[in-house]
Amino acid sequence: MSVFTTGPRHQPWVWQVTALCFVLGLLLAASLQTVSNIRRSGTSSGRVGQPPAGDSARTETVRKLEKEIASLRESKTKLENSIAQGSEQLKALNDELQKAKMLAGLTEVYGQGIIVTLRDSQKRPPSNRTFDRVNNLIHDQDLQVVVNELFASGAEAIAIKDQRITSRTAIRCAGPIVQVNGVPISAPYQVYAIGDPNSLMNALNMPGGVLDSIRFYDPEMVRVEAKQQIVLPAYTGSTEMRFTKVQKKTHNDKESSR
Amino acid sequence: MKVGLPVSGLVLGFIFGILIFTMLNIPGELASVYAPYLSLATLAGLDTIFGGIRAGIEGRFQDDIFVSGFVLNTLLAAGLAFLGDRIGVDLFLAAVVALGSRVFLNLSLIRRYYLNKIALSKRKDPHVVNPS
Repeated sequence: MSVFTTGPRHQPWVWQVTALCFVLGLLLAASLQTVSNIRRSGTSSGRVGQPPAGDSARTETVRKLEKEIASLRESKTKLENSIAQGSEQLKALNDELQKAKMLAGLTEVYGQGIIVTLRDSQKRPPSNRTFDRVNNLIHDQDLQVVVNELFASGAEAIAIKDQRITSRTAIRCAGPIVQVNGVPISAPYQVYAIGDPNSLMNALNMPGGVLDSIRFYDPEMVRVEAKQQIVLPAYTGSTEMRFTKVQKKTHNDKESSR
Repeated sequence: MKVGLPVSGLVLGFIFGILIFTMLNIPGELASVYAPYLSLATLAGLDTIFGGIRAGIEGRFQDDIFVSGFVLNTLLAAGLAFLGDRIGVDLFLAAVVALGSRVFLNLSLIRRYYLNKIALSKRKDPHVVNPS
């Protein structure tokens, strides 16, 4: 056959194929590098890996100061109560004050409710893919949706571990741990909620609800239990308002000044 | 065929590419945008190289066809991928299937040629020349 008569030896096309092989090598390297870049950036978000050895001395100091704040606020409440003993007017004012403080989360409170325990999966991830490595951990988003769902279904007060949820609380991811009120906490997370245990339980366990997606990965990661009495700690963070001022004008004035 | 030259070209290009892209250090968010185009270009390059080798073996290698084939295939594949992105159809699959099947076809022809050559060199009978 004529096709096979000419040997390919010493042909100029070998050089051209070589040149294009060079280009192909460039492209291959680019593709590989790109894909590995995407993989790397995919895993950099979210709580992945082990918590680092923290600055335990400073954490200890913060804990101590927080306890001090809590006890000072408690004695302040006692003083307010004793001042209110004097007159009927003071008593009415103090009642209003204590109610506001309870609403703001500045007092220790108790009542019936539920405890939601969220823990990282003990199961070995079935593969090393990003999906499995991310899903076997409890993330800040999981805590956010649980807290949100609890408030939506009528919880009156919520705390995550020893951190009370207030109007100024942020739940955020900080590398291997989660920060609540700026304080780092680590898994397993206990979410305490005061409210009607039945409606809270039903809201959380609703099919397709917020816990379902976690349970889908590993049912061991979630435990919900009702309790007759739960004690929630007081908020120990800052109550300073530097920029917010109370609107002193009347409603009509406010409208006209806009 | 001198296998060493193209392979060394491939290795050299690969090393160059790794060096360049490590220096550039493109973030993953940006990389994920052009990743499909890049892989299509890689596939087009693979197709052209196998096509070139096959043509060279068959003795009808033409450099203009070789180079223009690479450039146009890459452009068409990228264009299809872009159009597919716009209209929401995975059009780049068409390029992947077409280029992929051609790579396999060319590879099978190259394999046949070398298997025949080996079979011929083993056979001592001088009058059996036609391998097919």
